[in-house]
Amino acid sequence: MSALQLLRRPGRTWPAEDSVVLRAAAAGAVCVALAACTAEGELSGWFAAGAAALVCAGGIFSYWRRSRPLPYLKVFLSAAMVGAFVWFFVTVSKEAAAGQLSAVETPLAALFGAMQAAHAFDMPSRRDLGFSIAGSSTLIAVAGAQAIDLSFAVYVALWAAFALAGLHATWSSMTGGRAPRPVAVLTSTAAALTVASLLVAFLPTPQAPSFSFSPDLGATGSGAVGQPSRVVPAARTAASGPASASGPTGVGGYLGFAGPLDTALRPGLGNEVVLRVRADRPTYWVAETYDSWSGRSWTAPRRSPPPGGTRPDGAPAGPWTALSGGSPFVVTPSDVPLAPAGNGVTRSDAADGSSGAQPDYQTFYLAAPASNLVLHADQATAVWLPTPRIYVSADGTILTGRALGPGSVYSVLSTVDTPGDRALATANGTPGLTASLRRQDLELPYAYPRVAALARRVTAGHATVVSKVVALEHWIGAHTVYTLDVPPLARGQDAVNQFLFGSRRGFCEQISTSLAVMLRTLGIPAREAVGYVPGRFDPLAGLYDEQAKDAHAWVQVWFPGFGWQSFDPTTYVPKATPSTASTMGQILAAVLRRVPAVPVVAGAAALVLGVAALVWRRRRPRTWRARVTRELERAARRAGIPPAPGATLCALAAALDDALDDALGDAPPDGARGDAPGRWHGLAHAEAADSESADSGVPESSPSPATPGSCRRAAELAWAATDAAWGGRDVPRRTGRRYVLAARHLRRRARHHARRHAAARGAVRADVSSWP
Amino acid sequence: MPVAASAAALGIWGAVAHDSGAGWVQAIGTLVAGTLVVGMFAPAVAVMRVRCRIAAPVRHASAGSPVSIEFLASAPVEVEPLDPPGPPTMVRAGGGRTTVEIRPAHRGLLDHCTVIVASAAPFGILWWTRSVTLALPRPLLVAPRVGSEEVTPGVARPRVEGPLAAPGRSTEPRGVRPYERGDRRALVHWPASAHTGSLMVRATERQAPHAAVVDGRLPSDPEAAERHAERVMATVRAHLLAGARVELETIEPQGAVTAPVVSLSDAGARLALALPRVR
Repeated sequence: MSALQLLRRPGRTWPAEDSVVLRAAAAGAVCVALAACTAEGELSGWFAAGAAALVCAGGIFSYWRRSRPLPYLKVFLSAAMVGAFVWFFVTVSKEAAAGQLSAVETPLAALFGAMQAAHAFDMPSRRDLGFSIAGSSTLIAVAGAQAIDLSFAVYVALWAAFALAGLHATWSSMTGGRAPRPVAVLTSTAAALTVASLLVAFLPTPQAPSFSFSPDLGATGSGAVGQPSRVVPAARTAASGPASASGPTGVGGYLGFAGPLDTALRPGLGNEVVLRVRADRPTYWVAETYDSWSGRSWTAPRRSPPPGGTRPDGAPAGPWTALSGGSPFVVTPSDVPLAPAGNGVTRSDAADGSSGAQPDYQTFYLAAPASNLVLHADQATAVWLPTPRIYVSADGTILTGRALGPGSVYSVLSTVDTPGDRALATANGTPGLTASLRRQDLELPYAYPRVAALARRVTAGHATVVSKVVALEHWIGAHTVYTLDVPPLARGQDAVNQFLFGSRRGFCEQISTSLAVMLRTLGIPAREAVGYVPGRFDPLAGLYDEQAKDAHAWVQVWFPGFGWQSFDPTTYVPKATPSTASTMGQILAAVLRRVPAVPVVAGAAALVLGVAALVWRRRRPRTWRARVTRELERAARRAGIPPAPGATLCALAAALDDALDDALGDAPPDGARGDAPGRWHGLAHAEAADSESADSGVPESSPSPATPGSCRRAAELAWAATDAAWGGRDVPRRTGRRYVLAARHLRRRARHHARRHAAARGAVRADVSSWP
Repeated sequence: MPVAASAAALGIWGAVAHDSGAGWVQAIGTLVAGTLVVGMFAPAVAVMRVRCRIAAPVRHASAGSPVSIEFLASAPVEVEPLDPPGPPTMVRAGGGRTTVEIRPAHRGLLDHCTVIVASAAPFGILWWTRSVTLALPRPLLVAPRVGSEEVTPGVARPRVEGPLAAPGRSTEPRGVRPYERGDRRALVHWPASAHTGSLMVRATERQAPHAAVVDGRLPSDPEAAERHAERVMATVRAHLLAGARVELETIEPQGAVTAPVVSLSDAGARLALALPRVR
């Protein structure tokens, strides 16, 4: 093929595509991709709606003109695409000049959307429709680059369904428009999904680059800067609507992110995802630290401003350092008491077993209302946050002026230093801490003699701080158990004493607090830290899903030259073995909590009623004749008439009628009894009417079922039904219902008669007993 | 080429997805890859697994003229006859018969047909082909083309002296005449025979011409034999149109055969089976 032919080849005309299914599938795939971009914030709703409308309109136009393409349409569409490219490059150049390289996704999605909209007007052939489907894959991939949770799977599934439907329609069109066999469709779809699953299983996990993009500054907007005098509870200052924290001031049920950390309160932590973290490595993400222990609660008096003390910029006086100027906020090491010089420990000394300080980037995506605490790993050095000002305390706690709502995104650059035990063994004492800090981090509300004695006994023979910490961790792990079902703390009782010498059952707060107090009794500066431990890693989004139950408390110990190092004694503590009954009870309670009560109860009631109706229907005699018989037998039993072997039903009815009539005293005159001609005439008339109604469906006259002698009439009918004159047919439905009602009425009369007899017998007994 | 291009595109996609840390991009890429893999290799499976056969073909064909055969396939495939050639046709699956057109180029006995079976199932992304040789249920006799020029006049010669029974179809009856040796029994006019007491046969308006014997012995060169057969066909057609009785002399597997032909189809069948002359 010559070069000229190669050049001419793309311009050749292709046969027009007549498949409407293929066109609809292609348009659907593009529209779903546009919707996905909108859901991930890549495209505005108006842009996506307009592009989707153009795609649909273009599809219809292309179908209409598929055999008669407009000659200059390609020129106009090409000019539009060139314009879109120019806009894209100009926008990206501006963003790049502004240092916002991460913002390329938005114009890229807009460019792809515009290309799809323009291309939709020139899709006469099958090949063009295939290009449209292939292009939609890049569009949804752009959206997928920003997806942070599994809800994006809905868009992927929809897009895949449309794309596969389009591909099947392509082959169907190739074969002359015949619909593909369902088996072939299912098999090929399953094969594609299987191959995709295998590829997902064997491909290496995506790795984020070792650099961080600045966060989306539009996530929360810039609002008024509040007073960071204390941690602002989410319930009061949530930026995005009212707060929905389950606790009074907590986040996701954890009560340690606002105000004092009261260890006497039991957390109610759920499984809901409160935030997602993209991080270089999994680590503990600190929210804040506490250094004042009261015997029940942890507080941070250093962060509390003096009453009425404010600075000229409006920020409260105290240890808070205001950082303004917008992102990135550079948190210099001088803001926090890092290891000072002259403590006798250098980094070269710490090289043994130390990994050294390494940068660690984290991006936090909040999914639930949160407080204004800024999470970070170890020591934060830079913060990208959409607010004009942040505040940093001396202990490293970072606050914003307003609470962070769902959808807020911020990034933090931290310095993570994880020295080994051998390196930490060289760091002992309290150099580096000021006198006030040392006093505060060693302060105890009282002497804790038993705790001190226990700590000394456990750490006997250990010379270094790190070995003492490890020894205490092991002791706690060997002698306590982890459970959220802790006994309540009595008023005035010390939580540490209760935990170490009482129940020895607790969760992270009791465990870490005990370690901190034991260390302080040994003269080792320690404080409480709260935050989140890495949750479940989502390989699709490359994020750690932090559930409310991932909130955690641990201990930070001061090491000269290394600063505050985190220790988590909870990891040594085994979980309590609950009793079978309590476990079953918890399981049952958990199941019942998740069961929607109203529909389940309604369904169960309906099921019970249905089963009962079925049983009743099955136990009910199948023929009206048998029903009348049963009712009469029941009435006879109720009236005390013993069953006579060999007695006919007619005789039973007569005996029953006579007995009740005699008993009730309302017996008709003899002339009206069973041998009266008029009565038998009436019976004959009723039989004739029944026969006629059975044949013609015309309703017959209905005699009163409550009249005396009706039971005999019913029995006569039942007996007559057995006669050969009926030809083996059952009593007609209306007649049968009437006589069943008559028999039931008779039974009620029999019951009433029995009660009157019983009452009369009781009166007679009473009368007899009253005789002298 | 499509496979290499797709692999390269997917590799780039995977590298971008891996290095960007976006798991959803990788997931979508694997979905696309799975679809492409199935779309590119499933047709090979379909082509290898498809079962084809030719059902109830016609018995006679003419070289250069299209002839339709019925084709059956277990899966929807595109069939392009290769030997003898023909235009591509999409064959439906499920037992339905599809008419496929072939155009034999030469005379002869056609007992098989080579076709190219192609499929792009299930996504229409890539076509895979396979050459399949299918046996015909019954051999197809391919007659030579009817040439534009006839055999040289010397080839056709009178073979039988005297009048022969007229073919009957091309003449009009004019009466009866006495039976002559060689007359067909069907021509006997029984009422006249009963009336005269001797066998009488129907007489036609004009007498049939003399029988012509056409030399259909083919030369050994295939091309020359083809051309000669075409001329023989033209000669036979001309004589038949003239109402002559034609005898065709050919060399067939059982030897030299000289036998009358009553139609062009008979001549075509004879020439289809004819062998070249052995020098």
